[in-house]
Amino acid sequence: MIEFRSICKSFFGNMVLKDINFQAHSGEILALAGQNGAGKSTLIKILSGIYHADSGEVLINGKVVNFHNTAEADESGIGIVYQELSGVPHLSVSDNVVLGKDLHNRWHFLTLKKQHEAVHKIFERLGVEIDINRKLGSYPASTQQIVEIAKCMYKGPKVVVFDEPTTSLTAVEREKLFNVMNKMREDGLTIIFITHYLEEIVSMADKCVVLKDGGITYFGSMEGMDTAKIVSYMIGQNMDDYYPELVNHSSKKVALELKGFGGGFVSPCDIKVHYGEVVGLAGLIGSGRTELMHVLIGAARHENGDVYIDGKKASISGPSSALKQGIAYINEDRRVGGLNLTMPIDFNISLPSIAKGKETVVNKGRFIKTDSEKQLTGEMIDKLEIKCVSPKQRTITLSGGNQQKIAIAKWIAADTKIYIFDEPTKGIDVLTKSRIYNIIRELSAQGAAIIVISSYCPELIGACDRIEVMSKGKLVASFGAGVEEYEILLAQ
Amino acid sequence: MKKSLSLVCTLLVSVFILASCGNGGSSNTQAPSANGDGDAPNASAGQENPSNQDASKDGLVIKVIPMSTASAYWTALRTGAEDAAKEFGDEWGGIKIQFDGPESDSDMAKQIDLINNSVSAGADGLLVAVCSPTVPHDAIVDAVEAGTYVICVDQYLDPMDASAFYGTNGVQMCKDLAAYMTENVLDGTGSYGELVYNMTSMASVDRHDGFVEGMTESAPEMKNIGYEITNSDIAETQTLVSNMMQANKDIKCLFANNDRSALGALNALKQEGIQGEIALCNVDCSLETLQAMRTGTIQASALQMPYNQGYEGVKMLLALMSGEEVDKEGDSGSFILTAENMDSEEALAAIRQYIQDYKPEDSYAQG
Amino acid sequence: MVAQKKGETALKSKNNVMDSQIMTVLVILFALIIFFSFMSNGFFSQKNLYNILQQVAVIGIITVAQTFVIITSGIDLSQGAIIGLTTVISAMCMVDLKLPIPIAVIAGLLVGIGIGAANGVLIAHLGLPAFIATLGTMSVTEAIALLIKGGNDIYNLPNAISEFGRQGLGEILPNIAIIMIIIVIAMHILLKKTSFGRYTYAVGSNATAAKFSGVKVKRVLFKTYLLAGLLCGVAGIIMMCRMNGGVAIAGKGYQMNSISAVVIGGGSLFGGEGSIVGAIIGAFIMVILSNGLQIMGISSYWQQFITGIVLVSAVLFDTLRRKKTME
Repeated sequence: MIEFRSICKSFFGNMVLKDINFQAHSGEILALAGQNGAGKSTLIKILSGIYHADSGEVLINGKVVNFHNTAEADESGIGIVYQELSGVPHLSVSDNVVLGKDLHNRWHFLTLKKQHEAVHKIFERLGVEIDINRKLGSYPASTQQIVEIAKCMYKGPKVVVFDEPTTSLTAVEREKLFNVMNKMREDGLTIIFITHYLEEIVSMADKCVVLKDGGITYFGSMEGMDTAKIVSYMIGQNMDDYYPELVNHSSKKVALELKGFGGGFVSPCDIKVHYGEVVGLAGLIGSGRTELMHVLIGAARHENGDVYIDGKKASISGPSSALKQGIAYINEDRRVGGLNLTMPIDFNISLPSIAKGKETVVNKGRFIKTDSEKQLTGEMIDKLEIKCVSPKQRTITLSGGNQQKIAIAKWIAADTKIYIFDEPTKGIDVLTKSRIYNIIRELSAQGAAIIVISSYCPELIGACDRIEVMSKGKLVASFGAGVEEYEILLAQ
Repeated sequence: MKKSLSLVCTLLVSVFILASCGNGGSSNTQAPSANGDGDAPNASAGQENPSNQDASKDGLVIKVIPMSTASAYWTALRTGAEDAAKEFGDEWGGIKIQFDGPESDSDMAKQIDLINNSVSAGADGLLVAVCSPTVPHDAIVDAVEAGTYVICVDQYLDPMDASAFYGTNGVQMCKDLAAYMTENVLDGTGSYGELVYNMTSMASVDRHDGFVEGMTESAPEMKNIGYEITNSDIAETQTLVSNMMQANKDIKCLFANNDRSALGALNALKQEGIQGEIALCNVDCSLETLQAMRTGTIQASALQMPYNQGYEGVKMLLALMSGEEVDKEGDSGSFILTAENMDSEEALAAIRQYIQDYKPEDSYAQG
Repeated sequence: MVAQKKGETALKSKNNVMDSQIMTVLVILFALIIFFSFMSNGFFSQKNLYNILQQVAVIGIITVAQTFVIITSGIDLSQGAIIGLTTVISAMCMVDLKLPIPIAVIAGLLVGIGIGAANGVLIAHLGLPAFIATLGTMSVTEAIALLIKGGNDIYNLPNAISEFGRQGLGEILPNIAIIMIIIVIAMHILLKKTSFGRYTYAVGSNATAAKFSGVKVKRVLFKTYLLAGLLCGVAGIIMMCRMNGGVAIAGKGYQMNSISAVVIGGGSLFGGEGSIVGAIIGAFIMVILSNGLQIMGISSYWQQFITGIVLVSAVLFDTLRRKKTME
């Protein structure tokens, strides 16, 4: 077991960890939750030997451990599986597992047979079947991650820390990972598990530690804990709902209709969205959802079918045309296609409005009305609670959550009628995620038609009125409210 | 914003304070006259020009501005100027020669700027080899009106509104060259081709005119297949000559009107292995052309007097500054160098116009 | 909370990266003026200041053009060639075709528009990299300029041309500098206050995001190069007035100066950064360097050396400062 006793740490006079006390036992999974900046990564860096605590102690199996570097941390029995893969693609799985701790015989020759035996044993313990002679690079990222775990296990740790392991995994891969974690738990290891996905904490963890501003706000078992409670400990206030109440605002009026619509590898689809309705679009990565939307707004070639806006056939030649007809596509990667990060906040917020020719912002002679622009920006910043020092700040200096808010605000400012959110909460802290779900619900209450694309089913279930599922370029299923996650997963 | 505004104000104030302190003599400031042309420029120093010889200044500054700093011709000219400065410096409290020009003939705006800036800098006299007969004209007129004496060397200004011109009579020189070639080298049959460095500068055009005139007079049977423009690019010339020879199988003679065009022609002949079979004559010389003359690849070279242009040019400036008159258009002379006469005293003197320390042994190629 | 407060003070300086670069170059400019005034009597004189304004006119205008191009993360290497061809065509109109001056001027501007449009098509619609495309149009344009008159210059232009080129308001402000100033002001307004200006920055900072934001990227790029070409046409007319002739090789290589000026003034070759004010100050810095050094009697080679060092230092300084504020 592992115990943290009165751990404190500060940087340049800032206290980043205050009096941290908690324990995790063998055969236990302890989840570590908290917003960005709460102190999770600092804590783990202390555990891994990169940082040194100012005061307090870490005890493993009752013995105080003191290490000054990562090698010593290894020796003390601490293993950390990071989010970033650090394997060597052109070496075999087996070689990767033993890298750095190769088995030598007396004459320093690597004894392959012993190595393979040892590596096999580890994968057995993990309950994973794999060809250890294949090159690491030939396996997908999720399998490479499992090899990372094996590598960590090879050093014989007593405590294993998982640092946000599921971020890039699909639902199926996630299950595989959790199976491995369960096996490790059965094996008697102590597991500390850091994640942003609250549902995972609820399903996997035995105990939970919630950090807020460097201090512990909750340490205890998962009995009676749910996502909302975890969030309230994370932010220190009562969060009634992580997801907003699913009041259906759907009107009878059809905002957008796709009939037999498709292009590229997206087969002809039929989708209808009413004003006031939030429709989720589920599917695996590569199932064609983003591609379908790109065809819709004219960013990809349209081959089949028609689009109807407000019941009338529409011709959308490109994003500019889509914008003018009231459609906003909020890009899945805000860095690549969603924001001009090096430009100031107000520049980003006003850009679609200017491109649309919105009269309050730009007059007929193409001159920008800077006062109106300022006002509009101010409104957006207030409405979406964007944390910034000044609207002239470069967007790249904001946190991911605030950046995403701006990526959304720019379209709200442009009087959009039909919103398409593509992975709206990717890489964002918990509080902002909730805020965004609320924004989506508010927009629908104001009458907008909304499509939400997401690979994270709980999110769709929590935020949408109904869900369509795409698989391999085809629309394969439709679900109403109250659908279970496994149903969606099956359909994928 | 307040911070930057006060910074700007401080800077502006300091600039003005310092400028007025540090600026003792804005004596040579005279803005260009209101009408562009029509003012008669001074042909001699007799007329009133606000003199730049303040009692407060000792020593003179003479700026030499060639058409480009690329060719060795200008180095010779510069040496001549510097020697004159050394020789006569004592009488004037020291004469400083500054040498600056554009890197290539094509940067004409640079030459205009150099002339203008020399005047602002208070130069007493300029020796300018203009890059074009017309482009620097106005700048030179401005300089003269501001009281700076300007002598155009080597290249003619049109209209010749500088204080004086001192250069080669290119027409006569090349006529003489043609005469030599027809009398001593050619048999009056076949054709001849020309390599000219451009067709815009007077000097180049004069040389072409002179040679053609000479050839037509003394070898009327010979056909002129025309000229190619080389832009003084050796590699370019090589290509042009090869093509010329391909197209005309009865070429008996090539004329290159400057040193670099000649070198290009030389290379072309060597490459074909026919050096000596086609006569080659040129204007100016360098060690390579002299070596070629020894081996019989070049039969005759028309030499100008670059050193003299610099030396005499400075002397002319000094004369003007003393209030004397000089020839409005002086001829710096030329010499036809041939394989026969190249070791004579006269020839050596002429060659040393280009290469000050030349010795006959130098023209025998090493190995 | 703690981290946020820490961030706030750092953030204040981050916004003003652009402004501080302008301040920096302004300081450098003044420092140079003070330095040269000290070093030589002739520098800070009315005549020389007039000359400096003459000398900066052509470069200033093409620098404005280059600013737009560089902000879109492009580059225009054909500027010098456009200047040359413009002078030739315009001079031909007056001397060979005996057309009135206004027509000749328009003809010259059409040259600029034409080459600019060619660049625009190649880069915006055919998707060629700007470097390659403008390298190509540069070569073709230079060749056309030389072919038209066999490399010969055209002179005997009407007197009005050289008069215009030499004269000005009193003896303080040359005509050609007035034109440059008008262009600078107009283009500054275009860049900062119109939707086209916004689109320029949007395309340069992230063309993909701009596209998805509803900006017609191809159209913006085309217009940028068209505008740049037109401005170079104007610069060409002015060059013709200065040289009093049509010279095919006039302006050759000038784009190197305009690119340096834009970068010194805070522009980034990666796009999305730059301002007209900064770039013009950069152009003045380069002209004053050249002018001052010549007046001090320092040879051209040293001028080139020093200009190179100024360029590298300005960019280095800017890069380091950016890195620091980004952390």
